[in-house]
Amino acid sequence: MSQAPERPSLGPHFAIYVLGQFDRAAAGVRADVRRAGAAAVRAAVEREIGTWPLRPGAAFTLEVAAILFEVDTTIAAAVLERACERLRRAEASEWERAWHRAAVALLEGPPLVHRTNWIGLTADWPGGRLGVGAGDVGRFGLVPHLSHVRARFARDPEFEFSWGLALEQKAHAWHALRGAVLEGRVNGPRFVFQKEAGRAVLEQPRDVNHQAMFGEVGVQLRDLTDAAAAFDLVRQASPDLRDLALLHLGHVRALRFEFDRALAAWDELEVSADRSIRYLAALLGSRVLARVDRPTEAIVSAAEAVEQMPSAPSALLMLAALRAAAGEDEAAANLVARALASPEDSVDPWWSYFRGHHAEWRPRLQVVRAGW
Amino acid sequence: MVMSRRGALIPALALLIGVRLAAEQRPRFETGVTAVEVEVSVDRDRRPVTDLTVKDFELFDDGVRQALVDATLESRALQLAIAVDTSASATGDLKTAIRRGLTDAVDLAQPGDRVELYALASRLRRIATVSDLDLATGPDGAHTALIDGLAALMLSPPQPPRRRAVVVLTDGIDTNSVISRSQLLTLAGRSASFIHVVAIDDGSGPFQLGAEHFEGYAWILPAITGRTGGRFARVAPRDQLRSTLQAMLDPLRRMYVLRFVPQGVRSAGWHELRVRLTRPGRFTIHARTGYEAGRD
Repeated sequence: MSQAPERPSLGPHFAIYVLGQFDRAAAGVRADVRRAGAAAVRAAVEREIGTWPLRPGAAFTLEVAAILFEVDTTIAAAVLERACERLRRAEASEWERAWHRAAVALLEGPPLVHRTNWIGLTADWPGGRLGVGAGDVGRFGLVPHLSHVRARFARDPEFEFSWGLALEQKAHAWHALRGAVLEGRVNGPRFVFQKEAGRAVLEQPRDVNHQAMFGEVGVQLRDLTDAAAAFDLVRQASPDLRDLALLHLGHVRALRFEFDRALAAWDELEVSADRSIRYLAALLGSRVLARVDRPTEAIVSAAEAVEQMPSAPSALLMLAALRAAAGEDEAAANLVARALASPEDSVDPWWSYFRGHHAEWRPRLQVVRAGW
Repeated sequence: MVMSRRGALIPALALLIGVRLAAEQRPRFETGVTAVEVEVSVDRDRRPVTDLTVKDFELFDDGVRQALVDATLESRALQLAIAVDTSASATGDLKTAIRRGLTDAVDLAQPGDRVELYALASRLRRIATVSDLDLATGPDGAHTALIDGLAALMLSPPQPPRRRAVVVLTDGIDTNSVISRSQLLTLAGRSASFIHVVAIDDGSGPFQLGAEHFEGYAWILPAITGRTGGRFARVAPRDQLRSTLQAMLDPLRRMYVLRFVPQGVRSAGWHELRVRLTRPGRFTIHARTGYEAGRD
């Protein structure tokens, strides 16, 4: 199939690409040196970009950010925000929508945990000090960015999905940091976690550090409510994103301890055309079923996940854990052996559950390049 | 916990035992196969005590004193499984310390031991040599499934006659496990392996905010190691790890095996174990804190 000739990228004309080469060659180079380089690039871009025409400047900034994400996610997000500020001063357009789609895909990409990301838990979010999930500095930029985008492109299913995903991840991380995902309890005297009328209630952390990290209980609950509303909108508005939104809606319900409603959402996905979604619905379902002490059904659900993706380690280990708890030690050991023997390049959809549309950032960037 | 007087009970948190079933590796109370084996190490002034007999031990299962069938001192080689964190969070001094700990652990292996190496990120993978760690950069490298990895290590069966000792070198961060902490606790109670965790605290990660954060996040690590009869240690990157690892592994080479048939206790679920010596003196007893019995 012939392709239209690709329009030349702006990137090669600028020294920023040297940074990319440096990064690839710099395994072992001190991280602070790399971050200093990224900061210098950021300063240069911010100094120069205001003199550029709007679209070339925004497109170039996007390319710069794509590289900077490999070095420092916070700096990359800041560079994107600078371009976003300029775009917001002009009339909204479909090209701008494409630009934001690429930017959001980039912002969804950083790994969940970075060495510096614990600091990120006190980040400023719209509406108050809410914190960032799993200490992910890279997602600093996602929520403020989406708050701008959602105002300009109201009820756009893709942006609504990303909004829900950011809030879901933040809430999930809040639970995970406390070692309490779906468990309804923590083993610490300063926390009381209980199920109350379908709502998770946490005693206000007394320690100032915990207050900074975990924020307020009401905020967490509001996040989950907002995330559920966003996913609900998406599943109704977008046939393409319907299954994905339903998958995440179920998880949000589970984080709210609405286990039956979570399972009901995932039940609808048994006939999804997307194998990864069928896999994740079964995997997450097994976790919730184990949580509510329905071990036989949990085993069935985990086995379904294994059937969908036979070499995905997460499902194999979940099934092994469930069967071991049922006294089936030999079967459990065999499943662990299968997980350990799964191919080196095997991919488990769970590993990218929170990464949204990150895998699509390159083609989305191509759309931006083609349009400016 | 050190016993300072005759007859003092050993608090549960200080116990470090191994539980094995004489016939089938797991308690089966409803079928009449009820013998339970508990592996115990005893030392005095940091030197192993090797002259004890069955009359010197008392064992309590859920608070009920049990009649010991026998107590024998058994020397065994180790099946040593070493897992190291290779995820994106293990960088800089932390990475250096983890690699050093791995080398130390391998060095502590003795003739007759069998060594297995694992890299832990989003998944646990078996590697052939230490140098293979640098190749662990697949699609699973960004995250750490510490809980899942611990579960996999617990569920891998020992290969008798060796005792299976697992050493996990980690920063304590877990980002994407699917197995819950409560599930892991159950598995730990059933594990026939001794699980040791060395958490290297470089001033960031789950230990950054001190003890309170540790309680909220990483409490699972000492909890599960105690259940298996292993130990938990929190160290700094520049600490000498060799002595820590040696203190974990050496007691496993010579252990008393206490055998008993549970009497007067419920069949399924968690059983808290306590062991004490009747012999006077200051002894340190290491034993697991209990075991999980399942139904047939």
